[in-house]
Amino acid sequence: MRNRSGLIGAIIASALVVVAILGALEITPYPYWQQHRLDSLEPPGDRYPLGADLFGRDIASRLMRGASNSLYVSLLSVCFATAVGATIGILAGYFGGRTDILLMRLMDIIFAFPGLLLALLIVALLGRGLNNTLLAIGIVYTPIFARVARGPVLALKETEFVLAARVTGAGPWHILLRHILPNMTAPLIVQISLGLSWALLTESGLSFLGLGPEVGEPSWGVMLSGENRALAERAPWLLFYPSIAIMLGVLSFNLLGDGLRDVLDPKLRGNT
Amino acid sequence: MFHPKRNILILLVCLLLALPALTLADGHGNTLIMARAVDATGLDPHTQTAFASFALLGMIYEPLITLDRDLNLTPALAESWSFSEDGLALTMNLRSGVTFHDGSAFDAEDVIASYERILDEETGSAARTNYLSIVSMDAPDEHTVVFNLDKPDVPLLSAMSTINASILSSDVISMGDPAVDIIGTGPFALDSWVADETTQLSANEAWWGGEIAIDGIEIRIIPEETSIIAAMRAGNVHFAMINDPLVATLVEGEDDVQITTIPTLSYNGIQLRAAREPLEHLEARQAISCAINRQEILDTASLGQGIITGPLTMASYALPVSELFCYEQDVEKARELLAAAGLQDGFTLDIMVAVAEPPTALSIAQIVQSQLAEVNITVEIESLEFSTYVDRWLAADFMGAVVLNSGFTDPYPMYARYWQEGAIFQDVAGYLDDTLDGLMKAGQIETDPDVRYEIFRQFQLHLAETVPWIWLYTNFTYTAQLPSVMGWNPGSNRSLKFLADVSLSS
Repeated sequence: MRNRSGLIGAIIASALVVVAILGALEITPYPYWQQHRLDSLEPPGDRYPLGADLFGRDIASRLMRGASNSLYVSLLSVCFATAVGATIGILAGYFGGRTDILLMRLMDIIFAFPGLLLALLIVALLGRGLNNTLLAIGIVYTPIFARVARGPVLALKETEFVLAARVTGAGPWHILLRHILPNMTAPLIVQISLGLSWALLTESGLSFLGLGPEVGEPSWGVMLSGENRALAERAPWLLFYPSIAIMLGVLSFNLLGDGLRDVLDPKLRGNT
Repeated sequence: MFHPKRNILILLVCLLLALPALTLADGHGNTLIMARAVDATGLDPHTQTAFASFALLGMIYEPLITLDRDLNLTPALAESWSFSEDGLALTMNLRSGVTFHDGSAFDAEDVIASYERILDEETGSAARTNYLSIVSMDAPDEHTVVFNLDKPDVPLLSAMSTINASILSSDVISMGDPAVDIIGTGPFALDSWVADETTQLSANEAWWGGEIAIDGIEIRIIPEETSIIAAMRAGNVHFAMINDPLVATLVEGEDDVQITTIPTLSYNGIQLRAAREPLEHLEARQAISCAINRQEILDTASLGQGIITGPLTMASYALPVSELFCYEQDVEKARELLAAAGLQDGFTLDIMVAVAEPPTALSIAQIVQSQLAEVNITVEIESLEFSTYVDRWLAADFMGAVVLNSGFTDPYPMYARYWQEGAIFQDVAGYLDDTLDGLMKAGQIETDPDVRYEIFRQFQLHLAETVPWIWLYTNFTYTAQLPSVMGWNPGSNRSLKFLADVSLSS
């Protein structure tokens, strides 16, 4: 086993993805929205393994559905940030000059704002909802991917195989897609994995502040907010399990990212 | 290894860090440190509608008449009052020796200037509708004011006891800005107000009501009520207003933090706008009323902390809810009503709620959503910031809204703003019929208590049957105080003016 922590991260992340898929398909112990008001604040037990909330909704079912919403936002926001950020970084790095200055200063402006604050602003402007949340988080993390992509392009465009391709008459798009992009995937993959943990935390933060999914739709951050917060002392399971879920999510993506970096970085190979 | 200089430095840093802890509640001498989650939305007593504003302004301003701990009318700036035999003149005998916080004397001129301002449409007074029977005012001497009415107006006295009828200095009205120049006659004077942060009040040493034992009050805004309780347990706050029953019931039975439960006349409900399709169908509204289970909403959203209510919440007029239309959940009847309206497939009901105002609003909406789903009514919940919610409410831009509305000791001022032709919130209420309008007008002028009771009995039955709104339950409000706060006894009155009676033990 060359990278144990990476493997643990991959296993936990895979388990969370499976849970999220079950949640998305509503294959849960109870319908996540179904209220059993006579079972309000039922502690963990046979009927509700992780307890019930104020409305008698099953915490386990809501955690599963919350996993699908939280991971949906995290994954798609990082996909957005990767697609847009990496494109900007590659173009800036390869073409250089004014293109580089214009694109990277734009990224610097976005980067200058604290992430959660900028995401709050964007969601406040767009309105709450899963898609608006993922867009806001995607925009916030775009500059990081632009920076990560630009660095390797600056080095790669001066390599002999790229110069050779240019001499043979290959156009810039051909060079970018066939020669540069395949050689810079390692840092991007690592960044994607780490970005997932940031996105998960930001989504939880936004949901905690009331700017997450629509009312009634759970996410892990939503489950830490609202009436659950007021009830935390009386029914600690309301906050305990969503907190554990967020912790596991962030930990798994971080371990996975570290593991991938160790595996994909030639300088570190053999040291792990 | 021993490093004397480094250890002294560490000690100094520790002392610096400990300084804030030394300036906790006990470090404020004889000033009461109070906390609450929501601040006043403004300081002009004639235009404010928010409970949070009334709580603050009730300590600074006074009306002519006020309510005692049992919600009976009692003298404030007027020592006594009397109606003429025909009921068309109300004479107020003003208290002498009263001064405003700036030292100026209170007299009849201030009363007339205040009521002229309330009646001026440009002021935008929230309660103007309640005083429209006043056609003129005379001041035979500086301590007497006669209100001349165009018709007998029994509920006028009750309307005069609210914060919206506070008496302002005539100098401020003519030369200042009542929203900024906060000069009242109440037990506490405003020293500073930083919105959503802190308010400093000092005791009014010249207050006519007697000596005040504390030097003043510092009000801190702490948005989370659980954090307020934590601050009290740490001894950082002496006194707090708590609105969330989920939080208030947490500290019940604790020795360190005492909870006082105050029943209120305010009611939780869902305002429907019958002007919106398909709510214009009587059966659609009735189906909503029949499909919901009010007791279940109360038990879940507020942990049973409240009382199921009809339209009138004051004990002297409230009907037993068993007499009201569909107060027992009847899902079958709801389905039949929907079918009669041609809505057997259901419809979508959009309900807006304000975030945390009241704290139970979102919970109420979610339970109603679940209950109405049983009769195919899909509830879409829109959660809004309080200011956006208020703007939308004032613009009547909603189909349904979870509300916490204030109650009065008299039915007329409680609903005159909604259910009368030309009432200021008629459009917001979204419904009016001749019966309702007629009952309100009759209730305003009727002087015989038994006949008046019958008028408002019919009024309640009619409202429950026509279902312009859904009335759910009256709620409780709470104060939390440390054992060092002595003499706090609000009775059934949520006003903070009774803080004038408290003292702080060491």
